[in-house]
Amino acid sequence: MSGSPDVPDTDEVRKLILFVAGKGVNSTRAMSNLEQVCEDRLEDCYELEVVDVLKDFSLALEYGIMVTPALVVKEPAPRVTVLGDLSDTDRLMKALRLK
Amino acid sequence: MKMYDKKVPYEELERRLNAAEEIIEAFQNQQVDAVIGKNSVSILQLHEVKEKLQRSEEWRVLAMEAGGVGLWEYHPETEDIYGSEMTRKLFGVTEDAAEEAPIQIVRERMHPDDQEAFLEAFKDALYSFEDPVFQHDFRVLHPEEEETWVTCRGRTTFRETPEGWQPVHIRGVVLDITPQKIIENQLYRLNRKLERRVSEHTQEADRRGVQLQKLARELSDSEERERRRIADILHDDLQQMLVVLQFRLSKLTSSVHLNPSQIDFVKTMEREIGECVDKSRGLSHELNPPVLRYHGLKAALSKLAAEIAEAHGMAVVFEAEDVEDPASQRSATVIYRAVKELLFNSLKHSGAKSARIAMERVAEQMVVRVEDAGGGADLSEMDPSEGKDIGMGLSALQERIRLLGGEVEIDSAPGDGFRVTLRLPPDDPA
Repeated sequence: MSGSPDVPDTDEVRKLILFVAGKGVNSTRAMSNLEQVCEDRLEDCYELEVVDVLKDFSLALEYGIMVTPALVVKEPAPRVTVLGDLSDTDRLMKALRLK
Repeated sequence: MKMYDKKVPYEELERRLNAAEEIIEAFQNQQVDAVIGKNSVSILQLHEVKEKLQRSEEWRVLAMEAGGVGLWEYHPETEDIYGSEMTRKLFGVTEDAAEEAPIQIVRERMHPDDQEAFLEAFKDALYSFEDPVFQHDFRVLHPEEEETWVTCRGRTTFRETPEGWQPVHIRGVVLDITPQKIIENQLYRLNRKLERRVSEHTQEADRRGVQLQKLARELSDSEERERRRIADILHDDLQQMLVVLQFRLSKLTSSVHLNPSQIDFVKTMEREIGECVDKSRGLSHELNPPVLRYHGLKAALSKLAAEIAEAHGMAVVFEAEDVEDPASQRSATVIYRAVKELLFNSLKHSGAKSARIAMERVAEQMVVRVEDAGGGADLSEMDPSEGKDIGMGLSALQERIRLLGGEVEIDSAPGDGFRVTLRLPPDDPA
């Protein structure tokens, strides 16, 4: 994860992009891990965009993403990236600025 | 350590390193299912992930080399150094040569003046468990080429032993920073040059200022001498001669028989000669007031106040309690003439019925205030910096006092009188 700012829990809407590769095992896991945390902790306070790099990888290049699955937390700033299947809940919560 | 202060480009370096570490970690955890290249995406099967993991070091190197970052590793126990291709390139070393005796080569290529400081920083990081990070800039010598600047950064890994924490290896990166250093050096040199010029100019200006002040004093002194000389001629020669002439004429009228019209004529001459004596006396007093010469500034100013009140009907108050006269005749003369000029300005322009002179000593400075309760003036319309004349007398006075190292403050507003403050530096009796 690039940087893990200690920003306290806020009401700000989290803007997320999850880069996946089709129905890849890790991508599927990342999707479900992310959805679970978001539904439990963020309710409606997030906007998730799922990008399948097999269909279009230009956005991934734009964000400097070299492997999938990768979660980019666009907002709140600064931007944070988490690689892997997002099974490390602590790291995911930190990236989402959740305590 | 110093490196934490340097945000650019080390921050960027840190970001790249972290990104590379994260990718390797994701591979190690077998959590990657696709790799995105510049032109394509490759899906990885599980066995491929393992294979890629074995090549993680390669990935790391590729990521670093792409950013112009060289990687290196040092093992203190064996004194082995490993350098990536970029590291070798930055040191200008061919692969074959690097295999032979890397430490020797690094020593040879590092600028001799930078070696001691580098080794110190390096050893600090190697043997300090609390602060295992180091960063150091140094010059690299290339045979037959210009020297380059690199920044070298590393972190020590320790293992716990019965004797305590022992360094296993120190790993790091090295990055070419020559362009930055060139700019830094140019800036430094430019700054030094600028500082030197400013200091030269300041010294020159100071020197000229002192010279100018000295000249102004000499000028003021010689002007005063000349006034005194003329006053002396008027008083000692001309007046004496006129008085003698007057005396002779009166003798003439008593010794020679004259008809009434002749007597009238001689009387007129006597009266006219008397007027000449008065005029010459007035002129000599004005040029060199005896009271100032023999009784000092306070006496002279107080006499001036009385004379103006009597001759022009303007009440002038003079206050100078517990103030001693200035030690030098020069200061006394300058103040006297300035006050006189200011009072006559008040008479001419302000329509004031009264004025006040106050003299005091503030922190060694002689401070004299001259103020009237007249019509005042709008100073913004008198600002010479805006090309508006402050009045010939006033600006000449200001200039004279300034040249003698003093200051003149003018304060006025329409309908609010006119106040002038003169400050003269401590006397240097001359």
